[in-house]
Amino acid sequence: MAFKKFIIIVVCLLIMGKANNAIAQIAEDLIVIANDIGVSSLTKKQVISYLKGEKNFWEKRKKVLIALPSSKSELATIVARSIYKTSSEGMQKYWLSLVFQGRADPPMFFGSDEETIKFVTSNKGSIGFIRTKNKSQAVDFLIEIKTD
Amino acid sequence: MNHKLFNRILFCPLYSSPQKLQILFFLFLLFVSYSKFSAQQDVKKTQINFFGHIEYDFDALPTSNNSYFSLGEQDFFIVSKLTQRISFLGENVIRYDGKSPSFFIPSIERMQLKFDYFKNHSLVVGKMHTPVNYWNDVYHHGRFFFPTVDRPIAFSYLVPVHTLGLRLQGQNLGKIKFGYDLVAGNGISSTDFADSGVNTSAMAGVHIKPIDNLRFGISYYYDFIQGNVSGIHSGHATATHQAIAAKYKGNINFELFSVSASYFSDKFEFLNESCLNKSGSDSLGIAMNMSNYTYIGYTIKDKITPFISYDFIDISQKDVHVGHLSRNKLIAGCRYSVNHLMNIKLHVGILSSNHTLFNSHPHNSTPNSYEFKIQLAYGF
Repeated sequence: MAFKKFIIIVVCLLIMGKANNAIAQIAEDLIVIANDIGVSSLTKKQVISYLKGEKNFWEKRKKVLIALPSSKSELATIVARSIYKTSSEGMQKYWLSLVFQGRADPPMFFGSDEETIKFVTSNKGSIGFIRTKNKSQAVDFLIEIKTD
Repeated sequence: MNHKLFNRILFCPLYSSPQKLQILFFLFLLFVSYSKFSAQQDVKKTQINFFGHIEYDFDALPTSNNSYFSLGEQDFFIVSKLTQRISFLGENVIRYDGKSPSFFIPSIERMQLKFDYFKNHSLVVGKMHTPVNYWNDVYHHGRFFFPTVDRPIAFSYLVPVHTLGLRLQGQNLGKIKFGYDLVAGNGISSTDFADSGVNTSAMAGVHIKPIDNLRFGISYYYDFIQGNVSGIHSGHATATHQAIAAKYKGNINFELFSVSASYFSDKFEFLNESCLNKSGSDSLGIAMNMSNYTYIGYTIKDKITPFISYDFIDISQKDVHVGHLSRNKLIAGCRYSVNHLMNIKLHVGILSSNHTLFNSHPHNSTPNSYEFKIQLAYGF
């Protein structure tokens, strides 16, 4: 009986652990945080769409404010590859071009997770990325990533 | 600190009660506004960029050779958020002008206010680049973004580069990322200050982006050019343009159909811009003109992009706005991306005005000329 209970607890913990990973990670070691965007979960496709400046507003009519890792951030390459399918420099040029066309507002670039967390937690409508190890600093702002 | 200030005001005998209330109210307002500001202080309101280029040219002309350095357009670019829904975009360029005593003039290239009134739909007011095709909608004056050294030839003759007026814009709508642009404003004959007559130019364009990096677009532009005047919204190199326009003083019905197809990925790059121009006058009737620009590039080792392009324009002998003209330009070159803020491009090109397979009008043959260019373009 005790062994059965132990197995059930272990299985539950494993499921919770698995679910917890699915909650925030959009790529390896990368989680999404956002502030008052009207939803608590997004699909990866939606995240990419917002992060590429394809949508001006969230469903709650808040303006989309994008926080991206600057070239000195360790996350720049991961974000550039997983969201923009390009290099870190390619991501910077993508935004320079989009802003120059007048088709999107410029994003904010941050060099560390701390700066990103500070920005996102103090600006409604903002979205950004941090490393998984720092998610405890932004527990109330984690976004669940659903399968497309 | 604030407590000390409050205490000093509250207990200072010099202040009467009404004065104290006023000061406290003022401090309260200051505190509220500061709190509101600090909550959003990280949002950058204004961004300033600078774009420019420097060139070396070697032209082997039929009668002479020219070798020179050239200072290109220097572009001051600014965007600013005025409210959550209203933004400002300004682009001021200092550029070469042969008529200026210093040969350089400042020029307002874009000055627009954009109101995002509903989701991805916007209203734009001001001076803008007429979104008739991909090149004019995306690259503007930023040589840094150009895949090649120069604009397509049509920009010097057929493409109405600017409009000062109103624009309804939608983008990334639905699964195919449909976009539209409806523009009405001062046309080809106007300036940024005034226009003669009551006619405004009109443009309607749509585009789709069915997959990443791919865009198809078509547009129609109409303008009634009163007195065949070439103002400041026509092509960027208007010497020929204005000379021909000066001879014929009648009105012109100017129609331009444009089709663009573009694909720009990290590896493969393709762009095709076609224009069909119908230019009607009381003098020689309707002139049907055409231009086409094709560019192909392929990136190797992330930073080096060899490319080729073929460009031609064919203006009918019936045309009294641009004037009878044929230009063909074949180039082969290479672009090296130093980083995301700078690139170097070079090309060799053959220019001719001969009648080719693509021309539908007869043209006199002239000897070919050749060019070699190196361009350093930057944006930061």
